[in-house]
Amino acid sequence: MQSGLVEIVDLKKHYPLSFGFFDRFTGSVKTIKALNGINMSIFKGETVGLVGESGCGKSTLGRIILGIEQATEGFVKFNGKRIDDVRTKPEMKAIRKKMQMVFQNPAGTLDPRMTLYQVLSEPFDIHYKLTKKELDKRIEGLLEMVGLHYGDSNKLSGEFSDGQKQRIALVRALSLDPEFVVADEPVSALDVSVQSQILNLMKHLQKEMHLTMLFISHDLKIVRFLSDRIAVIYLGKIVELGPSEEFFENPHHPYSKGLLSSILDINPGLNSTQFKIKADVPISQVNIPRGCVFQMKCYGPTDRCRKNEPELREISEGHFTACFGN
Amino acid sequence: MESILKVEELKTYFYTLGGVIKAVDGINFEVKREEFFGLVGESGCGKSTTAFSIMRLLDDTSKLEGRILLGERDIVKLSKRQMRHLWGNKLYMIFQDPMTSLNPVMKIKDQIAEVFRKRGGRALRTNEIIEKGCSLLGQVDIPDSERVLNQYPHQLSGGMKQRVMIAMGIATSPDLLLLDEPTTALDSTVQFKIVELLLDLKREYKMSQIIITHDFGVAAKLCDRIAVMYAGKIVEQGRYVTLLKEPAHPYTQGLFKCIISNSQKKDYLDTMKGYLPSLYNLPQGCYFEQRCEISKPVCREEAPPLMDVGNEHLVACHHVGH
Repeated sequence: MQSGLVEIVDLKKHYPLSFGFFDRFTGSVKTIKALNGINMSIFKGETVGLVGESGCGKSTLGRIILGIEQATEGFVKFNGKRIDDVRTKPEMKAIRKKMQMVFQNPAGTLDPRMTLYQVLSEPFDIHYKLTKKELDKRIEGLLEMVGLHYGDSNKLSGEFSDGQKQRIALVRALSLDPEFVVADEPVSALDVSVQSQILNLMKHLQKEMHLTMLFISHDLKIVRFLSDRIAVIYLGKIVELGPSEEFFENPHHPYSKGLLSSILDINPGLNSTQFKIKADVPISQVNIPRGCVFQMKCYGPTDRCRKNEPELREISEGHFTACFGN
Repeated sequence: MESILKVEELKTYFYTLGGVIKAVDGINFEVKREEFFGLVGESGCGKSTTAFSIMRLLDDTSKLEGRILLGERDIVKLSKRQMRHLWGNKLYMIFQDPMTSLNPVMKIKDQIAEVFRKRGGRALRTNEIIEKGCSLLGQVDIPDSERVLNQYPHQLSGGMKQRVMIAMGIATSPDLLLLDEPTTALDSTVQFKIVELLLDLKREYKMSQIIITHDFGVAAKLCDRIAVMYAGKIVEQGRYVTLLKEPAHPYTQGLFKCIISNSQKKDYLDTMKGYLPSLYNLPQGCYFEQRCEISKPVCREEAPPLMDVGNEHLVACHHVGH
C-alpha cells in the first residue's frame, strides 16, 4: 500500500468540558469529541479538499496535522515519521519548515503594524541566515509571484486590501518552499471577484511548486476547483472519500448528497430540490449517538445504523463511503 | 403594480475625521407590493447602508438626502420618535447574525411577547403568549415549539435562531421586511431550508421584501428584481432573469463570470482585475472605469446616467442605450 506524504492514523481529539467535583467519580465527565477516529492518507502532489459544516472538526484536523494542537489518541506521520515522536526543538523546526498553513481571516494573520518587508522576512529570520542582499532578492521574487510590487514593501501590512493581504499570507506560507500546505477557508472571507483571483493564484502555485495540499472549506464549488480528492467530514468522522469528479457525479453518503443539493446555483433553473436530510437538528459534539454519526439527520436510518458504526468501505475505485445503505 | 417603497436620489454620507464617505451616492429604485427585491453587490458597495438608511437606523455621524417614500410618507423627514411607530408595524429588519440579534438573557417566549407588546395594544397574558408563540413558530417550521419558547437563544442552532427572527418579523405583519444577508452565517444545508421558508412565506403572507446579499445563488432563488450596487451607486437594475441572461453593465458581467457555476469545470476562473476605489476618494466619472475593459474617455469625465433599456431593465453605462 503506497503511503502518503501525510498519514493520519485513528486520530481522535477530545476536549473535556468543565465538570463538577463529583462527576469524576460518577463517570459523567462530558467531552467534546471534535475528532473521533480519522484515518486518511494525503499523497505527494495531490490536493485533498476537506468539506464539512460548522462543528465537524475540519479545522481541528488541520491544526493537529501541523502540530499546532496535540491529538488525544492516534497520530500523524509526515514523511514516514510520527510528528508526536519529535523530541527536540531543532527537529520540530525542520518539520515546521516543510508544513505551512494559510488561515481564513487575512487581516488577522498579519501584524498590521509590521511592514510588508518585515512580514515576509520573518520566516527567513527564524529558519535561515541570509544576507540582506539575498533576503531582498527572495522577497522580490515572492512578491512577483503574487502580483505585488517590491516598491510596496515599506507599506504597513494593515494598509493593504483584504485580497492583497491574503496574497501576502499565501506567499509567506510558501516562502520556505514547504512540501505540504494546509489552507483553512483561505477565500471564505473575500468578495467573489477577489476570490477568483486568489483561487487562480493558488492553482498556479500548486502546479508550479508541486504542492501537496489539504484544502479545508465549507464551499463545495471552491473545493471542486482545486481538489483531486474530496473528503467529507461529519461530527469528527470521515463519511465519504473519493476522487473529485467521481464524488461530484456520484455522491453516496446522505450527508454528501444533502450538501451537494443545497448549493444554490446562480441560474434559478438549475436549482434542484434538496436531498432530504434533517438540516435543522442541532448537532451535539458531546452526545454523539451510538452507531452511525449521521443517524439524527438521516431520513433512512435502520436498526443496524443505530447499533453499528459504519466503517469506510470501497464502492468503486478509490471511492469510499461510511454508510450501510446502497 | 402598486409600490410599497420608492427611493429617490438617496444619498447617505458619513462624516469622519478622514473625510466624507459617500456610502450611498444617489440611488433610485422602487419595491412593488408582494415583490422580493434584491440589493446585490460586494462588500463596501452600500447595500447594507441603504437598508439602514431606509430603516433610519443610522446615527448623527451620517447625513441622509433624497426621499424614501413608504406609501405616501417621506420617511427621511421623520424623527426617531415617529419612526418608532413604523418599526415593528410597517417596517421590520432582520439582521445578518442571528446570534447577536436575539437577547441572550431572555427566553424566546419573552422576546416574542415583547414584539407583540411593542406593536401596541395590551400586554398579553401568559397563555396567550404561548398560544401565539406556538402558532408563530409553527409557521416557520420550528418543531416542538412549546419547548423552544422556554429556551434561551444559546440553546438553539443558528438556523433555529434565524427562524425565530423571521417569526418575529412576520408577527408584526410589516408592509416591508428587510433582510440583511439572512443566510450568510448559516451552513449551506440550513441556508437552503431558510431560503425555502422565505419563499413559502412570500406566497402565504404576500409580504414585500428587500433582500441584501452578496450571494447570487440566494438572489437567484429569492429575488424577482435586483439592483446591482457598486461603490454606492446602482449600476444595473431589473428582473433577475434578465440580468442573468443579458447583463449589460461590465461589472455585472464580470461578477457573473467570476462566480463558479455548478455546471462548469474550468482550468482557471474568469476574474475581474483591480479593486474597489477608496470611498474617501471616488473618481470623477464612472466609479467602475479603472477596472473596466471597455472604458473610453467619457467614462473618466462623466458619471453615466441610469438608462432604461426596456423591459424594466436599467443600466448606468456610457456604452449602453441612447
